[in-house]
Amino acid sequence: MSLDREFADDGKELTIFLEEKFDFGKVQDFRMAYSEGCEGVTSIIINLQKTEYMDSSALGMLLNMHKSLSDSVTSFKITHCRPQVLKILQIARFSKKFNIV
Amino acid sequence: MRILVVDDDNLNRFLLVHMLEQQGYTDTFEAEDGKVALELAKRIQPDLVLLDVVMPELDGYEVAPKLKKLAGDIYLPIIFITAMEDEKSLARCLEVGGDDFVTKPFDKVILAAKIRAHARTRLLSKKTFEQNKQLTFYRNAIEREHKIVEHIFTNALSVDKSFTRYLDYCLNPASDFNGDLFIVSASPTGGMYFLIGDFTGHGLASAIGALPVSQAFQTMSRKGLSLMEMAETINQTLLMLLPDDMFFAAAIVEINNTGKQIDIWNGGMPSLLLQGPSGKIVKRFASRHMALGILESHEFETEV
Repeated sequence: MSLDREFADDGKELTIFLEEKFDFGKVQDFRMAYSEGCEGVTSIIINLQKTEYMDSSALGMLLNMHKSLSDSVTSFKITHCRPQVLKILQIARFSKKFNIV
Repeated sequence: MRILVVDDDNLNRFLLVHMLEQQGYTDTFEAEDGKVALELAKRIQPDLVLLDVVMPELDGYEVAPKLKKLAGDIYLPIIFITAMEDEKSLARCLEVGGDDFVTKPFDKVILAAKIRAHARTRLLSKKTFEQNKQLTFYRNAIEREHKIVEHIFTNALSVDKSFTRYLDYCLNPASDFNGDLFIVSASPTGGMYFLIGDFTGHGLASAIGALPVSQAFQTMSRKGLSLMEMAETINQTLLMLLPDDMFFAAAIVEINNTGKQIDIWNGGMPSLLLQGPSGKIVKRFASRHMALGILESHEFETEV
């Protein structure tokens, strides 16, 4: 099942909504969500409002996205983190690559 | 499609073989009684059997289970051709191991359709059997390979016995191969280094990175390098080796020869806790860096 996403600002801003579990099972869906029909996107927002569980492969997937899009995308944001997810991102020091708000 | 026709009546056999030919089944064999049928089945390994019930020597009811046994794990369809029409006899055809029945005089269209249907199931069963065989083969091969790798890993990554009096440790991995790593090494100045880490993901793929890390760690420990240099080198090695979505969260710790000074580099691991003599937590050392294998050298911070 593909992930929900939303384009804004004339297609320059893409928001991807993750589900309850963000782990290796999402690898395909997540890659599709940021690679299909995303020409012209310069800002990516990862919305983790629903996400209650996240593992290290999810961190890997985020890094992968960052690396593959860093030529065209200038802003990477992670938003609406629940406390337990925020803690993982803090331990992993993801603020060095992502704007966590 | 090889079909065995078993009937003691010449004319019946002729009719059946002729009908099969018309349907395009030309690979047919005939047996005039149960005994001959079993001998023949052993030799030719039929894909389907048309079996008469009433025969001298072994009758159809006795032959069916024996034929099934010969076929082993692959489904061998047996269709009874019988003149009997009472429910009991027909039910018995299925009870002894038959798969279907047609009453004499047989209807060509129905019999041909039944043969095709059972042939499909036979094919499916053959496929499953082959796949099972392959699966078993692969499973054995993988088990053998895992044993070899496990052997190498235990030799390369086990904690040196000379440290065990200083250390109580517990590694509780979810599977045989995993990305969890705990390695210890002496420093040339009389202290020691240790490294606790965890690779992204599970299983063999995540464990593979442990070898180069361990080699680099041992070499650098012998030279007495600083934690900064260690972290930088391991980061560089992993950056080169690991795919983009894989990394290694790790804490590297150096304890000097007095045991009173501790340096810690923590990248992506939960806080390390320092306990006082009473067991109270005196200090927490939180992660201050991203895990190893993510950042390019120029972005990488080595601050201890």
